[in-house]
Amino acid sequence: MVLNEEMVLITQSLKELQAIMSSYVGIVRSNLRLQRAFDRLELLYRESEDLYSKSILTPKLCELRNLINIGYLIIKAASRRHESRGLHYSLDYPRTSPR
Amino acid sequence: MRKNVDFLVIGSGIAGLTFAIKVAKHGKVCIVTKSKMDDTATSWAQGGIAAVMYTPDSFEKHIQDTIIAGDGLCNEEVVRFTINESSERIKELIKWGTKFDKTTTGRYDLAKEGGHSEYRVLHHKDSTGREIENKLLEQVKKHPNIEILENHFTIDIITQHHLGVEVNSRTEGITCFGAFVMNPRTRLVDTILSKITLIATGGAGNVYSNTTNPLISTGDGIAMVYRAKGAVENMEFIQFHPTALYLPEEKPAFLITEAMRGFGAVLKTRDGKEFMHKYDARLSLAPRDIVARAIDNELKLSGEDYLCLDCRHLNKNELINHFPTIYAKCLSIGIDISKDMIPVVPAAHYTCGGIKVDEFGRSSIVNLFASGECAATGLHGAKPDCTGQTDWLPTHCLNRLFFLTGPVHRPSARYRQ
Repeated sequence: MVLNEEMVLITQSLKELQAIMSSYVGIVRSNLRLQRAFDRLELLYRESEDLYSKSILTPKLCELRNLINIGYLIIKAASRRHESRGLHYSLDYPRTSPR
Repeated sequence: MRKNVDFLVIGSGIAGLTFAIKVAKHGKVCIVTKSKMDDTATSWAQGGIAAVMYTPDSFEKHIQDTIIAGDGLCNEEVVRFTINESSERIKELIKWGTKFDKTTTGRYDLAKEGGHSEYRVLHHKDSTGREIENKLLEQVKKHPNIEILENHFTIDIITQHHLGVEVNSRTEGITCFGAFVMNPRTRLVDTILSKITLIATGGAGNVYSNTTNPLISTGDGIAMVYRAKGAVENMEFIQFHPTALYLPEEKPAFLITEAMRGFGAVLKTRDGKEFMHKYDARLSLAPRDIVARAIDNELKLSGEDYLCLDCRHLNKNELINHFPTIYAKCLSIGIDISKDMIPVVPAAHYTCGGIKVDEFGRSSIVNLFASGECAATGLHGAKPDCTGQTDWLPTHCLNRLFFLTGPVHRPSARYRQ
């Protein structure tokens, strides 16, 4: 079955992803924001993988899939860092840990 | 269709092109790019490229500046050799035809920017990136061993996973055999097999709504390596430029230079209230990190989409004289900066993390290299040197190092023809 006759399936997901990342995983992060972003990203991930497996490949769809992977990597890396350092700033861990 | 090459290069920015030019004498090179060959973030780079050129500047000073900016996460060894190599690499760019601006005395006209303690930024007017990209493309096009495939989107790199072997992040000896690429003419997926594959796909700014990156910066290479179970690190470090013009439909975002605040422009909320006094005694002139965090906090508190930069109290003629491009740009969307406040928003600017590579550009996957913004080299650590003129150096130097050492990986499995 070919699903991606409608570009909106891709463009809407992309906008949602960008909005989630900008609102919750931007300059200042917190545990709550990262968790919210993660939960929302999971839905987008499932939908895009479904679309990827069922439809004819297009560059736009591949880019969406890549960006969702990137969003996941940023959220995961940010959640694991229990300190603020350089460009990563968290309200829950405002200090830089000694190295 | 199946194609065999010695070197497969994914991406046609400065990282991919310099690598291609250097390895072309050793074998057949294929560069694949998902768009036009000159449609890269390199072409957009207006600033310059940092290199130690003349005394009183020294390699040691540049090394110290970079390590301080990296906030303790720099790999000092990488910083050291990258910077020690810098002037050699610049000479190479010049040999390939790049013209950097000179002063009347014939010396290079060096600029000084945030984070640098000396004058060391080479530039070509305000289009340094385009100049370098064009000259590299000229070299690439005339080389008989290099083929460029435009509008070919790389879907995934090929590893033993595609031969039916189970691969997870703990698997040792994951090996790259090339990549699956979408052919725009036949609309089929082509297989390009290669002995060495370089990922040079750039950053991932488009994961955010506002970014100064071109539309093509979608983190393709980083995502591919992650899916192939290769190591990716430091992804939480995304550099934001605090003030880009708020114009959601326009990508990439237009930058409102920080020099405007130096000139007297003041940050305000949408309803015209100042807020910087809550964060720092230096107000709108506080360091970039503090300003960015303050803007972010104000946006979060109010839930608004943007803040404003107010220049209305400044002398109109001086304003136009100093910032002609910004004045014209704002006017084109109906904002007269002498009468109206400029809507601004932070924009994602540079991806510090990425594919984990060693000092030779080798990823954790055998025969797979990464270079440029998609690679995490340990040069930037937690923060690049503010404006990013050092960004281009690792790219260029690591390519050279790859070259000096040669591929030392031995493939543990073979892709059946």
